[in-house]
Amino acid sequence: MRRYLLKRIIFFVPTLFLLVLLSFTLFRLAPGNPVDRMMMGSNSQYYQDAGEWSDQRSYWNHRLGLDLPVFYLSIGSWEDNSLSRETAEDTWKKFIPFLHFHPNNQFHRWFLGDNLSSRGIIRGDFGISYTSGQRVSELIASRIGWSLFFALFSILLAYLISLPIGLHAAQHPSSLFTKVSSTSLIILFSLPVFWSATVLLMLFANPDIFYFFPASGVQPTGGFPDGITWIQKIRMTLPYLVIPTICYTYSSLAFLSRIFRVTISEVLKQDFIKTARAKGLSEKVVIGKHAFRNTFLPVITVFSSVFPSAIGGSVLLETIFSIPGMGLTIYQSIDAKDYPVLTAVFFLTGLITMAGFLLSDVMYAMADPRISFSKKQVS
Amino acid sequence: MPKVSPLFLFLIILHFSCKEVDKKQPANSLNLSPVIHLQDTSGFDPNWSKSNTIVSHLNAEPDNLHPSNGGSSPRSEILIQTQAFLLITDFENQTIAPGLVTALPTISSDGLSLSYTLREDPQWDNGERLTVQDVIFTAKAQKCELTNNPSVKAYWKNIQTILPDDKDPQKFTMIMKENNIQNMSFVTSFCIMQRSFHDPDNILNKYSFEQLDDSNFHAENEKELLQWAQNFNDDKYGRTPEYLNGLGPYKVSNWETGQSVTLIKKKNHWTSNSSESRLSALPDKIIYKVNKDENSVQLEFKTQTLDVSTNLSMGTFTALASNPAVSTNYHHVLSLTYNYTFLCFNEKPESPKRQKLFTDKQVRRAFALLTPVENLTRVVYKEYSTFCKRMISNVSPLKPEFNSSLDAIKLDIDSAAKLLHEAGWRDTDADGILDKQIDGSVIPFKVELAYLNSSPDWKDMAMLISESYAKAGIKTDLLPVDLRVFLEKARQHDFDMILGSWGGTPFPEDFTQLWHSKSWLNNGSNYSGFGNAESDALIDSIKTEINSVSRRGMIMRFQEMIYDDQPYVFLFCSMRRNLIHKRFGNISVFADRPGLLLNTFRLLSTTAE
Repeated sequence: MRRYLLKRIIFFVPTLFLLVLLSFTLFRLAPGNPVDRMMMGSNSQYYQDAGEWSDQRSYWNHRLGLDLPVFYLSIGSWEDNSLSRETAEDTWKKFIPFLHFHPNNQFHRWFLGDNLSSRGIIRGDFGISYTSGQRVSELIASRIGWSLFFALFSILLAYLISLPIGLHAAQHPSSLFTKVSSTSLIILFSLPVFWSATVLLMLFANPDIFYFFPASGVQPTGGFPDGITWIQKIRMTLPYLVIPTICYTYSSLAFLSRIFRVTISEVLKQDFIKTARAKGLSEKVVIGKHAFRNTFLPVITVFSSVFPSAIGGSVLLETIFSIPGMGLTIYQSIDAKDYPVLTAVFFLTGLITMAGFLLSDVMYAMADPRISFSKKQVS
Repeated sequence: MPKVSPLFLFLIILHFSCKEVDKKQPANSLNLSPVIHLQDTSGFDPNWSKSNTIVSHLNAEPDNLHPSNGGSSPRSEILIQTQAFLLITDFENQTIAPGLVTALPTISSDGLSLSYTLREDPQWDNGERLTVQDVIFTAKAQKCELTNNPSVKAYWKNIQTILPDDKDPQKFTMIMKENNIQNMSFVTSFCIMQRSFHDPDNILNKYSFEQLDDSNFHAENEKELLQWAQNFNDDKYGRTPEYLNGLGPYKVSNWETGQSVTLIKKKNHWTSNSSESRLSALPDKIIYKVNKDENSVQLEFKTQTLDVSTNLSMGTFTALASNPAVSTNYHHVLSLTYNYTFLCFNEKPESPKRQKLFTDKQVRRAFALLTPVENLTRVVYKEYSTFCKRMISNVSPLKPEFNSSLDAIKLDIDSAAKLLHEAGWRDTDADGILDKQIDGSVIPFKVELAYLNSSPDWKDMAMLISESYAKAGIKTDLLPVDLRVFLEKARQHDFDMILGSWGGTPFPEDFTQLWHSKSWLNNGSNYSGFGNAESDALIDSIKTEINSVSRRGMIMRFQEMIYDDQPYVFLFCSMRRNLIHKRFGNISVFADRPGLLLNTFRLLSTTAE
């Protein structure tokens, strides 16, 4: 297990580097220049000389390093890299091809820093957002909380609902409840989230029908009153979270309950279950003690995807419910070509996805000892 | 007891949730002047909040609230309340009025020296009085190349220096490099910053205006200046309430990321005893609430969570205006703005992939005759389109210098076809599309029309335009693009036609940016390529003519030149959709941005909390 982990962690580094390269290149391939967006202000009614504007554009491209090549490397001979070029013994070096990396490029600045606005991603500094002027790490920290909350809470809720449904369906595949629940969940699964979110708002945040919940935001307008306790804060916040949580949750229900149903059905056919039943154990004990543990595998699989989805957020739900999360931030950053934010988000998503997979591998082994990560010796 | 199907119940509920959209009623206030005064009324829900707090809708969060580094419209809207400016817009008269100065500046005969006298009463939050040093600091900070204000830097280039008066500490003279009619109006957009707050060590004082302008002066090599700039640009001065310092009557008390920005009235502010209405601060609190979703905005008005919006889409405005509960509690007002929508032709195509389709002004005139402007206004403003003003020239009809002798070009397909025929465009191969021999090869009349993909209105307009052009044998390829691509194409002259809009103000306009031929050569905002020696000379004269009467005559002549050349098809003035709670009075709606001055709203309830 330790060896496996070590191997995976070693494999992490080149994968992450490739991911970083990919993210860095992709965003820069898109048309347009972020400086143009930065220079679009709300004072455009006043005259500015086109030459002056152009000078400013060049200056800012230079200052942000956007006038540099994205990558700068060349193929030459080993000799080009050698300090002692003139000696006769070094002639052979002319014939050895060599890849030269030149530091003055955008990737290098982003990776190792520019000594001005960023110390480089290698030192954990993602730079400064072009649009808001915030440090990217602060921007992400201020936005990720709600995305993480909804991602975790909705998946927890989805487990709590879908597990008993799946269990019941596995035990009673032909019952009316199973038929109704699976049909309803499939219908729910097919509903586009923006539509159901709007319908729920129109039904339950509408004074003309039912006004149970507020229509937007995650807390009272203007913030909480001074001097209230955190319990009061939670009570005031809860109504804001109901409809968004339903929307974040319902689409996972069909998928999870079906996985639980199939897994439990398979487990219930196993010999050890038959043995347990033959020993005269009650159905509760058979399911609870023997079958249930084996249903953890899908739980782990889905859980590993929670964190990346929290980084990605949900643009549609965050827009509809005015949730200050990551989805909206990413959308706005794409629109403004805010490279530092975009590359940071892409990088973090990749990192967390890989970490999630690693974690799930470990959890698989813990949940099911039959899963082994070491190569078996063939005798 | 009869059983009710849940599906049936759901459909019934859904039906009632949508019912109001079908009932269309006219808005309760439609007025086409630049200023609309709303009558105070008592006919609103008496049970509604009596708190003296305005909740105003924003459809985007401000990028920041830094006094110099930012560029979003919500930021400008909030800074009006938290900051103060040397000169301000007199919204009532659509002119410029003194702000932090006692009067409008005295301007020298060459127009290059503007002498101001600061008011005695403005005080910063720490009790310091406003000084000329604050004004000088502001100008230097804006000009310094290390300041993160790319969107405004070019505007400050024209300031050569600011000279304090030797005898009177309240007086100073702003020396400009070039005479320009906007030398006075441009300061209405830039707030004054406190020198001792942003530059306690007086670093900027060590550098002259000349140095800051010098292209050979490398600010990044100046250690002290670099340190100052790093601190000045720090995000805390644009986001953390304790660091948001300004001379305005309100201060930011809370900023909930992505949710709301709360302003509270300062106690014992220097404007407290002022009798001037523009300096008043009547509400105790102003909350700017961010909501991008049209449906939940509708619900927030139905539940009276929001008091004010100037950012509604036409669909939401119409739906809310037809809701009896909303009508009872809110004023709904359409107001004209100085912004306008246009179709621009590429008169001088440079790119080899662009055909010379619009080099002939007769063809451009034909396109103006083919453009269904009335239908286009109907697409955008629906049943309120009759209240929309047609643009005839490049000057808003709300401005006194608008040339009313010019006639709107009406839809006339037959006349357009005739003009195109005269220009040599005929359907020689009978494929339904006109063609013409240009530079030795036969070119079909296929036009690419680029428009923004940001709103369905642009798409609907583009489709209507293409249908109309098809009637004259012109094939239009529609190209929806995002803003960045749109601007890039326009600046690089890589288009046949573009559909777009321009913003405007009531102040004197310098036509150089949009219409001077050098703005085409430099890839500036003269996208069409309009301009010749005569028009350039007239633009140069207009921008330096201080006398408004003489200038007006020149502008009228300039409009005739544009009208004759037809580089654009001018479509219509944009209308702002305002919804304002009736629990507030003393409300005026203005054509200029932001449209409403929230600080002047008076709570009408006599039992205010």
